[in-house]
Amino acid sequence: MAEALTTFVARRQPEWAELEALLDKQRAGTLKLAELTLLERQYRRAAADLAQAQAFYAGTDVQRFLNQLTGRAYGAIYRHRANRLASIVAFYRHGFPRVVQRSLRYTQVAMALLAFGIVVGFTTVMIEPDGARLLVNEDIRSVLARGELWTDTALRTLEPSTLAVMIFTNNLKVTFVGFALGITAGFGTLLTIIFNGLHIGAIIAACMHQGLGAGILTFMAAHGPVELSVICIAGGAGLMLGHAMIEPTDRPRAEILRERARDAVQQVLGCAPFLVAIGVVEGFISPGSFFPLPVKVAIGALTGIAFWRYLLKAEFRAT
Amino acid sequence: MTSDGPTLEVATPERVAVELPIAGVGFRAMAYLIDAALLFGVGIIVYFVFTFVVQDPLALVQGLSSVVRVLIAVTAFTALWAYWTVMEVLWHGQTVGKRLMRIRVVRHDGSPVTAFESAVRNLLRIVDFLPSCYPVGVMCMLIDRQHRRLGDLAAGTVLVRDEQFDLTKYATASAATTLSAQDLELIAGFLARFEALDGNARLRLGRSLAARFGAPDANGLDERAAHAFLTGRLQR
Repeated sequence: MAEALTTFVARRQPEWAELEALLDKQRAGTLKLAELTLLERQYRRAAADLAQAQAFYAGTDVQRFLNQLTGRAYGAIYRHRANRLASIVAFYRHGFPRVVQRSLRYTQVAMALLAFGIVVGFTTVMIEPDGARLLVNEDIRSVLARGELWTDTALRTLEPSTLAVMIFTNNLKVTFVGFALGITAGFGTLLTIIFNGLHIGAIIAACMHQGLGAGILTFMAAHGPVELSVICIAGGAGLMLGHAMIEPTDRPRAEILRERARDAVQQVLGCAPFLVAIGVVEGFISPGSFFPLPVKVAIGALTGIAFWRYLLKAEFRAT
Repeated sequence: MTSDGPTLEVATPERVAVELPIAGVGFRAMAYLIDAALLFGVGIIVYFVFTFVVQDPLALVQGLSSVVRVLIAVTAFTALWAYWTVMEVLWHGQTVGKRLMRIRVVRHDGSPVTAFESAVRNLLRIVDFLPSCYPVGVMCMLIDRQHRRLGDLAAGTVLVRDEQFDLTKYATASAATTLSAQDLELIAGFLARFEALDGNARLRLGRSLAARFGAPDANGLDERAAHAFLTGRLQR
């Protein structure tokens, strides 16, 4: 027969208070060697008390109190020194390529949507130059009207490092917002990707009207391949979420959404360092004519090929 | 206080399962607002001191070389980021806001956060903040069973509640009481909160508790009489 709650508390509380005091000392770093043994013993006794409370005093504050006390002592005593750095390395060696390969279909759909947007944007503005008014940002248009590339103007008025930061935050926004909108059953992601494509296509066409076609292609050559790939991968993750909501197969929607969300979040977070790297290229290498066109094309091709070779390495192929 | 809702379950080698209550979006948002207000306040003070000391701040900034300007921007960013990380490491998973809201960052096994994990979760704060005011982070918390934002997922951390319990309330009961532990908790908890309760709630709860524990004319009792009856009930 269990002992009455009142006597249990009255009998055991002095030792709980002692354990609390020891834990405070441990936290402050003033624990002495002799007290360490005491801490360990009091922890075990508190754990036993918690087991008793779970059995006989479930749902009372005593149980909750012991829960917290034992949890705190457990955290102080059993401190796992897991190597988070090693797990990050492992993620980039295996985990990230694996999730990208598993959802390659969605990335391909995102690429098709982006290409569709680019083609539509490009043809619209080629046929009807006034269309640029709707698709290209006012500032960029006014610069283009003077026969200059806005990227060169940006370079003249801003430091390259500031430009890199601006471009990076913009890419980050497009990537993460595109992904997050997957929660609208993929509809928001769809629109984000297509509009992004429309925008790119329209800008290229607008540049060509001003005789700057070669300039804009030179600007995009170095960073374009990886940057657009990353946007498509993140967009693919958003589409994957959306697909899970529309067609949850034979399982509950919440369950499949959680499962897919785990992959999708990994996929998007995995993209972040590549976005940083390509933002640096876009800020420092792409603008201006310091680097000649062949160098930019070579950088673009090499980074693009290396990125996809890394992602599609056969050893990670999903089974 | 209740521990309903999601918990962080830790299996100890002593074969006792510990369940720590997880802090939800509300607690975390409040803690963030307190911290943000603090940082904003410090920012205003720095600004006023700066403009007080320097005659023409705009000319000064324009006169700086670009390298220095970038350095200042990087320093400002680092300082903001360092506030969260240094506080969480020094205060064992708490910042000012978290301490006031009684919540704490712990690793997924319940042990205190290390500098590395705190650094990761606070670097990803920027991503959770996107595009402004944490929609990404909040959405992530709503999907995740343990209310973690992206930064927590990446760092392997969870926010748990640090509750305060008053165990002295049990001292009012006699050791020989025939009440079950749960009934004792109910009565002792009510009596401990009696003074803090609103008068109306006090009367309503007092009467219904008195009726439940066998007062002959519960609905005719006033709040003091209900209190006296329940205090007496703890002795039997």
